[in-house]
Amino acid sequence: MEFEVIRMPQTEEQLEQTFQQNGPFLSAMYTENDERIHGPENFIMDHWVMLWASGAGFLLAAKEQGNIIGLGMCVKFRDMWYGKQRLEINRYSVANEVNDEKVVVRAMMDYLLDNRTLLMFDELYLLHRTVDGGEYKELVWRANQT
Amino acid sequence: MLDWNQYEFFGILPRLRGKQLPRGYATVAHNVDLTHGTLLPFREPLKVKELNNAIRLYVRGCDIYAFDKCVEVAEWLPDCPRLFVTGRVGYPETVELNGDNMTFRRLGVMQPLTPPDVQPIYINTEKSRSVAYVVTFINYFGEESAPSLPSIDISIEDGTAVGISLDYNPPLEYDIKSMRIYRRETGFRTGAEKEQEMVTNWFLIGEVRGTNAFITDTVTIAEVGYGLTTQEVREPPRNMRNITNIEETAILAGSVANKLYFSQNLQSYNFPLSQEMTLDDSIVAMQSVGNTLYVATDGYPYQVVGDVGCDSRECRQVNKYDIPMPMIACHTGKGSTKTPFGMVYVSADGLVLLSGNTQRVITTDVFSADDWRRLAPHTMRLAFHKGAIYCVSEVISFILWLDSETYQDSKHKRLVTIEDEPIDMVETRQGELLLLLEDGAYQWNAGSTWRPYKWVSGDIDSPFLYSITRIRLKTNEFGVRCNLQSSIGEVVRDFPVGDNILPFSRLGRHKVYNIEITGIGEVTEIDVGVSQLDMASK
Repeated sequence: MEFEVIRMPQTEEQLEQTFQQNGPFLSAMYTENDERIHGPENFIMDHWVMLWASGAGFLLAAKEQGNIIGLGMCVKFRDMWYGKQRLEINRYSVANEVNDEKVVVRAMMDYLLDNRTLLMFDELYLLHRTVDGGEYKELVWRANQT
Repeated sequence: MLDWNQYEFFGILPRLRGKQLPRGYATVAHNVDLTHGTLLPFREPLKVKELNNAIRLYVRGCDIYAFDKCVEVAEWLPDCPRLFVTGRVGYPETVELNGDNMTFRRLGVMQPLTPPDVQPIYINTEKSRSVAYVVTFINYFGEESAPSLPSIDISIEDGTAVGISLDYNPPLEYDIKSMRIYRRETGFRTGAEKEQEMVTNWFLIGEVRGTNAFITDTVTIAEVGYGLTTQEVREPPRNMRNITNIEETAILAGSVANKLYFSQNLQSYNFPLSQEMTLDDSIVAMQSVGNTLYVATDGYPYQVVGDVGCDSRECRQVNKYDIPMPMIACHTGKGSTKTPFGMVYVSADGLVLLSGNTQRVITTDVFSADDWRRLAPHTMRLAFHKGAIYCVSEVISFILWLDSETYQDSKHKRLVTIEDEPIDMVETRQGELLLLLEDGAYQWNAGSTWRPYKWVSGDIDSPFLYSITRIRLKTNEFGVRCNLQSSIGEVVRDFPVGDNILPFSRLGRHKVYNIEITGIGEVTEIDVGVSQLDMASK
């Protein structure tokens, strides 16, 4: 599995291309429960562009043989309460053909952890969303564990 | 009168039976320091750093670094405050050090995979000429990659504005910071030609930050920068292991299966194709002693010259040793160590020393091959410290003294077992041995308390049945416990400090006895006798 941090497009053409490539995964991040609460208008794109433009987040693509098989929306920020640098996979979606989505998500987190000294974070969280609209945030890794 | 006394105490020789042991040798010598030919305790290890979940230790100067993966670590030049690591992730890494903090980046600089996108301009005049562009990546350390494939050829006049679009997304781990753009020019003269010659080269046009940019080239031919020098640069391969610094040079070596890679001298990021070698056997471990690289494999061992002056594989002399001695402790990652006289590694028959052109199993005088296999050699980890090999496996930990030239006090020691079972061991630059235990790094033999030892004599035998009833034992500093053992039982007495004779109750009459000493006192003499009268002369 290979990974790509999807960077901010420089031109309109690149932006369109990036949307085309990642659109299905971004759409899948807008869950049925989101639709029930917020209506049919998918705001994930806006959310993503805001994070991207402000430098607070990025998309991480997991690829196999050049094809995207998973996409994670990553948010990095300094925790207001404890002063820790956090990285969170806030939303993710995995291709239908993947047998076990946990393997792809685990590999994404491993990639982020392997590069934690470059990304400079103290804690890594994964936000799980259940079908009934429940959410829980899993602390995957914390600094000071060798 | 029974003639058995012990004024010189030696280590163990497991390949010999109790009755075969020369006078003074032991059947058990555990945690005992035999430097003086007496029985002395070692000190308990001293904890120097708290560590959790670590399985590899590395010490650079006074800084202790721990890794949670089975890594190999190399240093490079003394003024390069970085480490080079393989085995942590699927590619080699370079580690920037800042106190306890380590920043990992991928070693090497990837080549841009696509050519720059150049505005197609075709001017057809007498002054026009054909040019093309390439781009290189520059990483955080200022190291430069090989060039991309060239762009399309365009025809321009001098100073024509050319739009160049650079749109790359190199993987995060390379930490690429900028790009350099080069333009091909033809017609330069170097000044050394005797005849008019057309020289073609790629010349620097400029450098841009980041990996996405649109630039306009208006640089005239008189303003171009230096020529491209990185055509032969190649990043080290994915899955490289065994990264090793070749001493006396500025070359790093690494391996993938049976391929051996060398970096260009003074370029730790550049492992050119011209330096790549293929051996007949898959490489398991490598150690550099001087500028010689010793290579242990799953078949024959090798010796490779790592000279600075080599710029191609032909000049690296390779010596394949005569006898196949596969290294078997491959999954521990620490089954080999360097010594001043060569590389030592774990084979199925014992510890093998590769030194110059000779290969030798150095443990055969203490462990026969079948003894050795009972010690779980496939789990062994090695370290070399003050003339001795420290060897730890799942079933035994022992110290084997080798270097009687540098350390001439090794007459009595040879082989003793110890109770520590470190996960990893490292000798520091200050000559101390650090042990990685479950909860931290410990300095060997440096604590403030003594560690009790146990020493059991070889067989005290006689052709006739007899009964030992008296033992004389001289101990300093602390008392010790003496345990007289026969085939049916044992008698235990605690000897106080000083020179004392204590009576031992009868165990019946036997042909063979052993004496076990435990404690922390320094025992210098032991005599045994069959009666009080017998002891009068001792």
